[in-house]
Order: sequence, then structure tokens, then C-alpha cells
Amino acid sequence: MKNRVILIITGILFLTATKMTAQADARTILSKMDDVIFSVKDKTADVKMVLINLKNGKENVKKAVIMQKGHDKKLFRYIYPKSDSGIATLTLPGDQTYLYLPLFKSVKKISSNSDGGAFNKSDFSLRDTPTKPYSELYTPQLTGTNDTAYILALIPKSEKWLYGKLVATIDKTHYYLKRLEYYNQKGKKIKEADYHYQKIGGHWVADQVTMTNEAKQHRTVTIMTNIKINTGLKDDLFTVENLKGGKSKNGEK
Amino acid sequence: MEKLANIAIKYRWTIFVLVVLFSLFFGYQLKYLQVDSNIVDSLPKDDSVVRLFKEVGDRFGGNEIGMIILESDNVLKPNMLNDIQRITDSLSEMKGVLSVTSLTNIMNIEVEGDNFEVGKLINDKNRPQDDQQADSLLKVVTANKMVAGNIIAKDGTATIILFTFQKDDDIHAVSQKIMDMVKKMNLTEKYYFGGSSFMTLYVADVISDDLIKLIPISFILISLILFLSFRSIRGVVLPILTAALAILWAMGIFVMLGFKLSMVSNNVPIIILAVGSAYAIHVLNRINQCKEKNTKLAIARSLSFMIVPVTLTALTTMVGFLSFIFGAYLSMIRDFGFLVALGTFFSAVFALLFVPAMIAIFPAKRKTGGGAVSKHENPFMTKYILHPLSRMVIKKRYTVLIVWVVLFAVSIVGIMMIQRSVDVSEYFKPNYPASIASKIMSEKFGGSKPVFVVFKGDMQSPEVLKRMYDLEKYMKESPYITNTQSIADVVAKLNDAMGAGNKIPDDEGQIQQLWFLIGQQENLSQLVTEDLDQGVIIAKFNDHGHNDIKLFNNYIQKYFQKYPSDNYSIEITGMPFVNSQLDKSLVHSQLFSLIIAIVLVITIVSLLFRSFIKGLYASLPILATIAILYGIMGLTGIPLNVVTVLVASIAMGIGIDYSIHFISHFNHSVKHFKSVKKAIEETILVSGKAIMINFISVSAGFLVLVFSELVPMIYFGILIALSMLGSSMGALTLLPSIILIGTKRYNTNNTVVKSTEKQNKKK
Repeated sequence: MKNRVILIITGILFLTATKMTAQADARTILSKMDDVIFSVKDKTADVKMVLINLKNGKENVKKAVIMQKGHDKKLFRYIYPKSDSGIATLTLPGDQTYLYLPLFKSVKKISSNSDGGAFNKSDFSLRDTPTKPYSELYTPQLTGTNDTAYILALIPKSEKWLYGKLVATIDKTHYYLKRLEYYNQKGKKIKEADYHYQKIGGHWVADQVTMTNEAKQHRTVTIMTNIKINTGLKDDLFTVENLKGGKSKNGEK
Repeated sequence: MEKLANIAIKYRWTIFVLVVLFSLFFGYQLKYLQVDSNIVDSLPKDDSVVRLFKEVGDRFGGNEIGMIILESDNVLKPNMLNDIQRITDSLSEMKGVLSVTSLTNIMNIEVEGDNFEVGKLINDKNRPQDDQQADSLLKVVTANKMVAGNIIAKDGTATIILFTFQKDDDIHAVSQKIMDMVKKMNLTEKYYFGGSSFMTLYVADVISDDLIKLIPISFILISLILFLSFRSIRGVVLPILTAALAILWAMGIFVMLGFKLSMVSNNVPIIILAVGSAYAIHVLNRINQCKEKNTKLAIARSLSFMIVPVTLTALTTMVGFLSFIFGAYLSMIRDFGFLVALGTFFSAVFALLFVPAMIAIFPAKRKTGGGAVSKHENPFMTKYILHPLSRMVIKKRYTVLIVWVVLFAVSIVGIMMIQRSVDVSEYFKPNYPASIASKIMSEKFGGSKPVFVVFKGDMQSPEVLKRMYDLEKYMKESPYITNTQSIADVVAKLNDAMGAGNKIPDDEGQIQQLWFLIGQQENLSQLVTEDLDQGVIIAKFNDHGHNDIKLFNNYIQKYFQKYPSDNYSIEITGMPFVNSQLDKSLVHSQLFSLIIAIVLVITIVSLLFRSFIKGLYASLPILATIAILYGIMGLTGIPLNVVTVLVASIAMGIGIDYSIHFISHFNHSVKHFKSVKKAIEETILVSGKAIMINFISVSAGFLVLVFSELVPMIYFGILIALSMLGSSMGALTLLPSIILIGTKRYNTNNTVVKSTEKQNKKK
């Protein structure tokens, strides 16, 4: 009888320890992934967005130049098609977004009380590119592993989050994100993003992200070329004045 | 004719076995029976209004809009919003639903100085946590012109959850799934379903309920009448069995040919029951009244007498029904005509083969007597109805004629007042959920019937968008439109958000840049095509009478003519316009079917009697009846609709039977008695009895429809019963009066002997 009690207690302790270790592992994996993703101080690139209607195969191409400092300062300036040329958006800390439409010659602050969809028919919503590390926003759970990747379920820490959970597939070797699946509050998958990375200047940088929304039968492929990192972009590039003025990374108009 | 009797008697067991086997086979086919109650499916595909209506469905993700209406004292109360959210979320995830718009997901653009907020109308920041907050929010939301009267009632007591369907899915199956899903949610507030898909579903439900409820009642009632008339089990079983078999065979073939039941053909079993039993009643009546001791001889003698009238009546009835195939605008009415004609055919075949075969297999004791027929099978009817009737006709033939003429004249006045109704929502009783939903939609949301104005042109061109924006204003100035929605509204609103005013920009470049923002509107595909070459104004039409759409169409056409352009085209469609086409077609198809039926019936009767005058005489009672029928419809306000439009041709087909039976018997009797008066008396007493039994049983069968949940069905039942009353009375009073008056012109003694002698002398 005594032996049986000891066996049960040992078993419980073992299971608890295993679970704690798993949680600790999940947190470590997510933290490492954050370190990889958020390691870049600033970035500039040419962006090509291919918007694909999966129902009829029709494609729509948009081009822009992106400047990014940290993860909460981002400036997008569209160059193609001609009708969008000069349109720019600026994201600043605190989820502030400004929009500039050149033909109206005015800058407007856009606030979104919800996900707000995304501009330009893209499948990326405004909140899909986090301005904070994932580990600050989500509690991870290790749900599986395979030969090449860890699979983490990311549960939002805020109850009012847009998604019910995310499922991240993280490369075992380099700790970069390979796939991110978005689920709603009822646990139904809404969309998924596949990431492709390359190493630039010793940092892993996503050069292609394919976001597919099965329900809407729509896909957006974002391809980045001419990627330059850690070039020392100045803060005054990320101002409302510059949004209107159109100063380039070199500070020229 | 004897041959047929011999076949029926000689091969009685073969006939019996074959009927049983085929009945089992056709009965099995009913497993595959489907109901399709959608009027749109039944519309001709080459009609321009219908074509555009279907095009809108294909190009803008659904011309069918479904609605769930929720009622409460304030629909923004927390528990109410939770329910709206639950329904919205469930609908968004449901296969077959293309888009959902409700208070909990509708987008809103708020402009305040240099800031504008894009997001949900009800969001985490303003979502009420208690009733007090809900009351405060209500003031804000009902002041928002984009939503008030559109998705929330202006007084906040009702809201709608709007959704469109995936075009490749079965929208009725999806609607049913939605209905089941909402029912399972056990909502505490009142809810209703709106939109034509749900109306169709309600109609299909009522059809199924009616079939289950009314057919047995009809069977019981007709059985009772038959028992009282024949006073024998055989007198009940044979006519009912004949009709039941005819229903089974006709429906079996109908299903095998790939047809579906509709809101019109659901009453087919009752019609076949009423019509089909008539042939067996006449055959049975004749065999029963034949005084021949030997059953086989009695069958042979009766059949030789009955084969002409039964064939003729079946033929004319079939013509009445088949006239729909050539005259009807709706395919559901054509299908109906085909199905009932098939049932009528089988009823007649069974009456001439199966009924005699069954009597030969199961012979009853026969009454002895000569070869003539007995007139006293039913003393009550003979004493109290038929005798007085024959005396009245013979003595007061002119009075009878005058009464009919007066009735006819009054009917002409009534015909002028006849109304039409094609709106499915008016088909339900006032307390039915579908009627309540229509009433709420009309009173609180400016109607439930979407009207689509399709623009074909560059949807980023200022010219096109300005015209669209202006047309919306023009539409709202009419008393029929309160809400409109279009891409032009969105562009103007965004232009305002950019500080350039609530209008369409003059510069195409500016429009293109605003389009950059439009990308986030989820419901965009409902308003504009992906290639931006077509756009649509969706408006809700609120009508109060069938003429309103005509007035609105005139109003809108004036605008189209005033602003023609080579750069774009404008067309208008929608269910109210389809209904208007249907409305026009009702009159045309009614007239066409009726003319076909009248011409064919008179031709057939004339050919078989070998006299055009007799053909015309036979048709007079039913023609008068049809006039009276329309007169009654006009005077009592019973409208002409997809169901009541059938009455005249059906009445023509069934009603002519009485006259054919009468003239057929009269011809035999006049040869036997050599006196018109005696022949008429004999005909009224013998054939009149079968006519009376048939009239009472047919009317009872149709009057069962007054218990239907569908208003047109109730009217249909009453009108058919009325037309049976009219045509039977016409055959038993008007027809003999005309014969008597007509004969008197040639022969004062009313005897055929003298006139025949005169004719012989002339020769």
C-alpha cells in the first residue's frame, strides 16, 4: 500500500514536472523565435504584392517601398499601379496609422476600433504584423514536433484579441517562423501564412510571405527584394510631415 | 364498344394484376418526389427582366437576400447584441452563405476633424454593458443615416441580419439549415425570417403540411358523400380507388420524367381525386341503375352507353388542363397542366377498364327488371331535388333563362373589378410568421423586396458614379424607396472622410485613390464587379398595391430617358419587376389558356355530337359559369394569382362534363321516348343524379382546401366548388331550358316525332 502511494505521488510529480518543462520549452522556443524575428533594427525593401482571387485565378499586382525601424515604425509608399502611386501609410507606436492620399493633399489619422480589415484588398490585416514580440502577446503551448519544426499553439493573453489562437510552426534549427495559422474564437481556421526567409547580414529576414484565406478564396503573396538591414534609418523619416513630403531613406525628397 | 366491355370482363384478372403491379412500381417512384416552390425557377429564361435578375445574382453574389428579423424594446441591449453576434458568427461560417451584415459586424466610417475611424459600428469601445448604456448608444446609432432604417429600425425596436447566398449552393437547403440553426439557439426575443428564399420555404412547408392534412380529409369527405349517394361499400371504394390509382400512376410518371412538385401542383392529388372519381361514379351509377339481371350483360350494356360520354368528358377535361402547356407563362403551371391531364387520362382508363373488371370479379346482387334504367336509386335526391328541378325547367324555362342572363350581366360588372396579386408574401394568412416578417420589413425597414439598378460602365469614372449617386437621390424622392446602397455612396462617404465633401470627386485619379481605401469593405462584391465594369444600386421597394411597381417603373424610365449616355448603360430589375412581368403574364396566359380550352372543347364536343350547335349548347352552361366565376372574384375581391388563374380552365374542363353527360343521355332518351319533355325529365332524373353526386363530391373535395394555410389555395377551393355548382346547375337548368326553347321554335308540342316526320316528308 505504502509503495503504491509513493508510486502515485512520484507519477504526479513526474507529470507535473514534465508539463512544466514543456511549458518552459514552449516559452523558450517562442522567445528564441522573437529574438530571430525582432533582431533587425531597421529595414528597407522593395515590396511586390500579388493579390490572387482563387475563385477565378485573377491576379492584381501592387508595388511599394517599405521602410521599417524596430517593429513599431513602418512607412509604406506605393509606386505601382499608377493610380496608387504616392499613396503612403505610416504606422507609429501605439497602433497609430496615418494615411496620405497625394491627390487629396492631406494626411488623415486612421484609427481602427477592430481588426479593420486591410487596405488594398490584401489578406493581411493591420494586426497581422505584430509591433510587439509574440511572447508578450501570447502564451505558448507546445503541441507537437516533427523532424524539422516545433508546433506551438499561441493563446492570446488579452481576451479581446482578434484571434482565438495562432498555431506557429517554428524551424528547429534557425528558430524562424515557417507557418502561422490563424483561428477564430470558435477554433475555426481563418487563414494561414507561409514564410520564406533568407539570411541577410547575419540576420534571418522574411523575403516572401504567402497569406491564404480559404474561406474568402483569396491569397496575397508579398515578395521583398532589394532588402537592406540595419542601415541606421533616422527617426525623422517616420513622421507625418515626411509621409506627406516623401523623403527617401537618404533624407532626400 | 361491346369489345371494350368484353375485354374488361374477359381479362378482368389480367387487368387487376397489371394494375396492382404498375401501382407498386409507380408508388415506389414517389420516393424520389421533390418540391420546388421557387417562382423564379419557374420563370421563362428568355424574358429580359428575368434574365437581368438572374445576371445580378451571378455577378453581384446573389440576387437573393435572406433576412433574420429580431424584435425587442431596444435591440442594442447586451443580451440582444450577444444573440445577434452568435447568429452573425454562425452564419459567417456556414457553407452556402456568401456574406453577412448585421449590427455586430457592419463597418462604419466616422469622421472627426483630421481623423477618421474605420471599423465596426458596434465595437469593444462602445458595446453596451447594461441597459442604460444601450439606451445611450441607441440615440447615436439611430442618428447614423447609413444604418437607421436599413439594418436597425429608426425606433430601435427591430434589427435585421442580412445575408446573401453562394450562387452554386441550393439556397433553399441553406435557408432550411439557417432556420434550424436559429431555432436551436433558443432565442428569448421574437425572430422572423424574411426574403424570397424563406418565403419559398414557408410555402414548401405549407404544401407538405397541406398534403398530409388535407388529402385524408378530402378522401373521407368524398367517401362519405359517395356512401350516402350509392349506399354501398362498392360505391365508395371503386371511385376512390380509381382516383387513388390515377394519382399514383400520374405522380409516378411525373417523378420519372424529372418534374418537381410546386406551390401549384401540390393540390394535384385533390384535383385528381375530385375529377378522377367522377368517371367511376358515372360508370358505376349506370351499371347500378341498369336492370339487367346478369352482371356481365349489365356491364356490357352500361359500358356501351358510357364509353362516349366518359371518353368525351375525359378528353375535354384533359384539354382544359393541357391548355396550360400552351398558354402558361410559368413552367410550374405547365407542369401542373401536364400532371393533372395525365391523372385525368388514367382516371378515365380505370373507369372504363378497371371498374368493370372489378365488378366482374366481385359481382353484387342485381335488381331484376327490363333493359331500361331505374330512376329511384336515391329517393331523397330524386324526390326533393331532381323532380322539382325537372318540373321547374319544363314549366318555367323562360324564367330560368332570364335568371341566367341577369346573373351573367351582373358578372360582367364584377369582371371589370377583378384584381391581381402575384406577391408571394400576400399568400399567407395575417398571423403567419411570413406575413408578420413582411409587415415589419415594410413598416420599419422600407420593404423587403430588393430592386437592383445595374450600371454597366467604368465604375471609377466620375460620370458614372455621379449618375449613380444622383439616381439614388431621385429614387429616394419617390414614395416607394426609402433606402439605397451603392459603391457611389461609399466613394462619396470616403471623399467626405478625406475632407473633400460628401460627393463624388470630379477627378478620376481621386476616385482611384479612394478605391485604395475601399479594399477593406468586405461586402464590396455585392456592389461592384471585380473588374470594376459593373455596379449596382440595391434599393428596397415598399409597395402597397400591384400598380405601384408600374408607377415606379414609369418614374424611373423617365430618368433613364432623360440622361442617356454612350459611356454607360442602366437597367433595372428585382423581384417586384419579375412580379410585374408575372402579373402581366397572368392575364395573357389566362386568356390564352381559356381561349384554347374553349375552342378545343367546343370542337371536340361538336365533332363527337356531329353538330356544332350541340357543341355550342353543351358549352353554354360552362361559359356562363366562367363569366359568373370571374364576376364573383371581382365583386368579392378574390384576386387573380398564380393559383386562382387556373380556375377558369379547370372549371371549363370539369364543368363541360356535366353538359356532355346531359346531352349524351338526352340523345339516347329522345330516341326512346320520342318526346323532348320526357327525354329532359328522364335525363335530369338519371344523369342528373350522377351530375349531382359528382358536383357534391367534387365540391367537397375542393372545399377541403379552405383549411389550407395558403390564401390562394383557400380561394382556389371555393372557386372550383362555385364553378362546379354553376356548371352543374347550368347543365341541369340552363341547358334543358335552351333545348326546350330551341325545340319549341320548330315544334310547339315539343315532340321530336313530328319534327322527325317533317324532316322525312321534306326528304
